[in-house]
Amino acid sequence: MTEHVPALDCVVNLARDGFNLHVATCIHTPQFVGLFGPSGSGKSSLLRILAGLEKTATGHIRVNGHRWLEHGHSLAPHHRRIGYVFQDARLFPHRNVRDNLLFGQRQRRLDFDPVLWKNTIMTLGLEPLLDYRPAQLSGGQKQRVAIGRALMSQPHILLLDEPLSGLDQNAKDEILPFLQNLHRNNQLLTFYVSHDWLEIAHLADQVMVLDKGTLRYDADIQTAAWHLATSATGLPPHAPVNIFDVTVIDFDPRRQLIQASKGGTSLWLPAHTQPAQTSESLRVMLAPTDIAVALSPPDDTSFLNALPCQVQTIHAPRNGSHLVALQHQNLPLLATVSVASVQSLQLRPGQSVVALIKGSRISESPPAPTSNIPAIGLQSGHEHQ
Amino acid sequence: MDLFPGFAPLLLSFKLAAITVVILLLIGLPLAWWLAITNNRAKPLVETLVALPLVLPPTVLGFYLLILLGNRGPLGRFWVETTGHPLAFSFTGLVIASVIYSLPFVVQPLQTAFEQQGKKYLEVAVTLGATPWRGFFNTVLPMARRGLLTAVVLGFAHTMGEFGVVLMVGGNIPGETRVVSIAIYDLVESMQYGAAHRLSMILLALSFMALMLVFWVSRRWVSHD
Repeated sequence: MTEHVPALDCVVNLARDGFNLHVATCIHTPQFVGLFGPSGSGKSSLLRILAGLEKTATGHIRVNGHRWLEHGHSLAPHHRRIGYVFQDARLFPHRNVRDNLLFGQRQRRLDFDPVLWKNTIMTLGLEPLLDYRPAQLSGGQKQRVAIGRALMSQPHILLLDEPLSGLDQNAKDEILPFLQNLHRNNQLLTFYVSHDWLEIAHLADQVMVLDKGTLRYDADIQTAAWHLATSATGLPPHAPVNIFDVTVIDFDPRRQLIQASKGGTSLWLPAHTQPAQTSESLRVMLAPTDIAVALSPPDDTSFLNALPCQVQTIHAPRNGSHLVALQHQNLPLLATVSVASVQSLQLRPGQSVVALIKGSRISESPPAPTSNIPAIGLQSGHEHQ
Repeated sequence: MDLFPGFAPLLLSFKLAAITVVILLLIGLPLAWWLAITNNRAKPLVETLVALPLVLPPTVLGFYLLILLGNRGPLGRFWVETTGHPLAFSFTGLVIASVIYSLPFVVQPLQTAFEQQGKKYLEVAVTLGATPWRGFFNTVLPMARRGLLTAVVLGFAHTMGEFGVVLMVGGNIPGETRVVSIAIYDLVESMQYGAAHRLSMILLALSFMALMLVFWVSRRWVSHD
């Protein structure tokens, strides 16, 4: 292939009952897109348009070069290779888990792919559930089956419409690692609709903010995390969080530490478990309250990481603290510094400081239980020959 | 083939009911699905027309059907011109009358079952690659199976017990339009109580068993879902 084909290229419009949706976007490589915004902003409608379930949508949609919508011609939903996971799992109640999982493959007349099957049920922990009926499953289990069912139909694009919103915290904690695992192991364009910023922070590579049917904001996850914390997206401020996708360089079993790198910066992280392999990528989330600021590097502290930084901006105080934006080489950091400390350290933009990060406070996002299994072959036709 | 007085009418009623139910499913399934999902403004009008046989006196319905099916009626004349046979006082005429008369008994249970699930599961099926047609038969219909069973049993039983309408459009021609309910009426009229008893008992037992089957199977299906 000489020409680059975007994973998704779309300009779509939908007018309905006084609600107008207009979204234009081009996503070049398959990635995990968090679709974020207040309720009624059109997030679910956008997914339904991509799936072909909104018959009155106009514009164009091209997925991997395939024309799904163009010049008023709309490819029927069953001809679009989509995996759609609804908020209410919508498992077929008259079929057991196994038959639910195999439904898409049968309808699309695809050959049974034993590798895909094995990986899906392992990744999602479905083995013990296969002979159950949906009515016998918990909410979290149902949603795992629904995700597995979508994956087993070998989609080219995965649409997840608030898959966790109806679940309690325990069930959410149960599924998040599966979703992360999925995300790490697959090169599949995924849209993930959620109200919950922290879910998106755990999962997404890219964030789109929809408001009143228009795309208000579109950025990579790190940038979006900054902008959401400071209301730069037009939404009310969200919990600030530092998000780094780091690469594991080394594991020190004696000190129980992982050495990881992020754009040339080396960080020490506590190792909960030995990483499956070096060069594994890991998403690390760090609250700004876990970063301290000093004027000079202290000699002996419990902070494992001391990064020389420059102060970029000091945001207006809220609840007695300033949110301070720091820059270490090309690694941006957000730190919370009390009003009193900002005054006593006389912090100002451009100043050189040291950011102190406790190794123990860096929370690696929940480890996936089966992280050393081979990648799920979603487009198995290309990957498992 | 008359094993006992009333056997031929019994068989005729079965035949009429079976054919009527098949035709009613062909009409009723798409009609009930459309009624369940549509936002069309004509929906209340269609619902009214479907439900009309429930409240209309059978003689009134039968009278209008007689006019429609009679040799000078619009449908009757067309039928005579194309087939050479009259429609009124014929088995075919009875089938048409029964289809209209039993329509609500098939459409309403189906519509209720379809409304309960809405389009949600059909949408899931098509996003998983099923054509709408296959999605309907693989997903929507199995999920509406209780409504389907109720529709079939009610449609069948109601056609079996039809009297007034048949009398108006079918008359009482042995082997052609003399169905079981009319045969019982005749037996009673001619004081043959024994034979009337036998036929009535058969119908009572059949109705009882049919309804038992519906309730028993529904119960099993509920505990499975």
